[in-house]
Amino acid sequence: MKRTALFLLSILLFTSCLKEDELKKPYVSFIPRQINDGWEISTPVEENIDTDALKQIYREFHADPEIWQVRSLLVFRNGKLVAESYTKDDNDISTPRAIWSCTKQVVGLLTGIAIEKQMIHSVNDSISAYLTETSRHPDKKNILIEDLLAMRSGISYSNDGLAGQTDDILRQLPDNITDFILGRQLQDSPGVNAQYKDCDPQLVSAIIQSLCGKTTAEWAKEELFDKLEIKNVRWDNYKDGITLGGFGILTTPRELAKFGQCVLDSGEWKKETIVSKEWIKQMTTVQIPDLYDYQFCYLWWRDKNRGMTFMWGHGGQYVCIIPSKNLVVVMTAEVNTQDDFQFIEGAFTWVDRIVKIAN
Amino acid sequence: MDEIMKIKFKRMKAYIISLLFFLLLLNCSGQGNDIYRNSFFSPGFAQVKEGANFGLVFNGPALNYGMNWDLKNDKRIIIFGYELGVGVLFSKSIPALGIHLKPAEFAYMFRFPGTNSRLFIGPSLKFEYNYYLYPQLQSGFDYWFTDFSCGVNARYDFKYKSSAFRINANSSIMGFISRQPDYRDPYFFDIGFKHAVRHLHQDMTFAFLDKYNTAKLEILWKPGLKSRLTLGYVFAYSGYYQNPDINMVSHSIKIVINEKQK
Repeated sequence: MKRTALFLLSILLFTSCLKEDELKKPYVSFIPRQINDGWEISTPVEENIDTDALKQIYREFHADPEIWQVRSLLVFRNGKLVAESYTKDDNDISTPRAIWSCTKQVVGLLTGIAIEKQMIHSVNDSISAYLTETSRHPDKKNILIEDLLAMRSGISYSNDGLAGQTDDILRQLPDNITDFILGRQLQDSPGVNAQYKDCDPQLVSAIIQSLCGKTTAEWAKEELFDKLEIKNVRWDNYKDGITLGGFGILTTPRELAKFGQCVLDSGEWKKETIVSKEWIKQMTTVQIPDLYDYQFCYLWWRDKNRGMTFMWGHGGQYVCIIPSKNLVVVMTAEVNTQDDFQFIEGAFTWVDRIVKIAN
Repeated sequence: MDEIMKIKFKRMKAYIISLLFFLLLLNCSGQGNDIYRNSFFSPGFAQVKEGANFGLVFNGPALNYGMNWDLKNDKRIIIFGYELGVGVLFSKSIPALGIHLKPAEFAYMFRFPGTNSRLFIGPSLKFEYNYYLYPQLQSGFDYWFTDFSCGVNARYDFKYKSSAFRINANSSIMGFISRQPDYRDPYFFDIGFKHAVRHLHQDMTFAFLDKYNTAKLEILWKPGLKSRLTLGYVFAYSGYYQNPDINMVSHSIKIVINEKQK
């Protein structure tokens, strides 16, 4: 009796456990699909990349259990798409996903266009020249647009945790996002100390929106997305109608790469100037020498050691631009992971390996 | 809510009210009933596979506490109980918090035909909430599976030497369920106590076994007939089979403290 009961119990125990799914698909191929999205497709051989070594990198990218969060790896060289693979879902090729803070870098590009069009006179202008809300918050009148681009507004604001203000914005608690940010205390004098935060690019988006007569997102479509042949994109507004600036864009890895290629080509896309060369240079000039082990420019990131400019979004969304190799590498990952569970540690080693085999 | 759902909801409400009223009547007229009360702890191992979690399975310890009242006579047993539990689960070191609430569970079981039959069987009704947070994986979003289920409950008692054994089994058949939506805005979210209460009852839909099932098997052992302690093994399963699907499994040891017998 006892034995039978134990036997039945053991069977129940062993047969009633849940099994984890395969978190990434096995590697099949990195040959890009032609979907007529504006990218010219090429091969590693034509673009002087070691095919076997690239294949090995992709194989490991798919197989490495440590980087279970990754979703895509794309390689562009000489303005052409050379390799792409999606580790979880092939539909990622055309399914827009959140790119979080890579939105900041798009705001950086739009600022250049706004200056070029003389909507913004200069980065040295006070924000009070553009944001009427500053009349209610006179202590913010000394903040310059440059301070916002270099995260030096001095506004007391935190991106992190439940007590952080980004959490309030994501829950859409404040009625007016610009008032909410400008209503925060100044913890430093503007232009003095840098602190990475979502509120500064948010104010840049509010400034652009105050000038263009439509939402920043709509203006971006006309002035940037359409010109870069970016169609698979969505950019969210806050509930008061102001386009989000610190995050808020959803797009695909292929579309994301177009921003990178445009910066690599000094503001051009297929020989047409989208953003001025001067702005690209100014935008990618280091402003903060040390921020999370990298350098920060006007809303763009630099890795001096790698000679790399990059876009960086929460969870592990990257567009890496390596001018010395005429190379753009895009990596995306699951979007809502936090802290150490994001695809951060070791992410650039994949880029290093690709750089190494690009002759 | 469309018309069919409204009708189903009304019908289900009528069933629930009738069953509760019936149980109340039985209780009031229950002359010769014995009432047994017990409380229990169930430390165990729980697993959750949530469709939104990319195929990850969260495993870890869980602890449940609850109380049961049995009103029993020769012909039938009425059970009322509640249960609450918490689990801290992990997958690839990513933590998750699980909360399990069963504010009320009722069953009315009649003796299976045969005067000496030791099998009782009958309908059951339960209200059950499963609520999960994955702060490091799905930051900002909450996950839930709620079921208000009608089902069947069976109990078989037998003695072996000086020990008493009991096998309890329960399975849902139909009910109202609530599940988080398949797609959520990747940026904006609402989460907080009042949202959790609202979410747990959001978009309740009527469903049968083909869409979900919750089931439980208990094997209990009482070392002596008058022992105040009963030990047992409990296997519980809940599953929702449409997007976003979820499967929850738990194996636990049940430690029951019976009311002191007069």
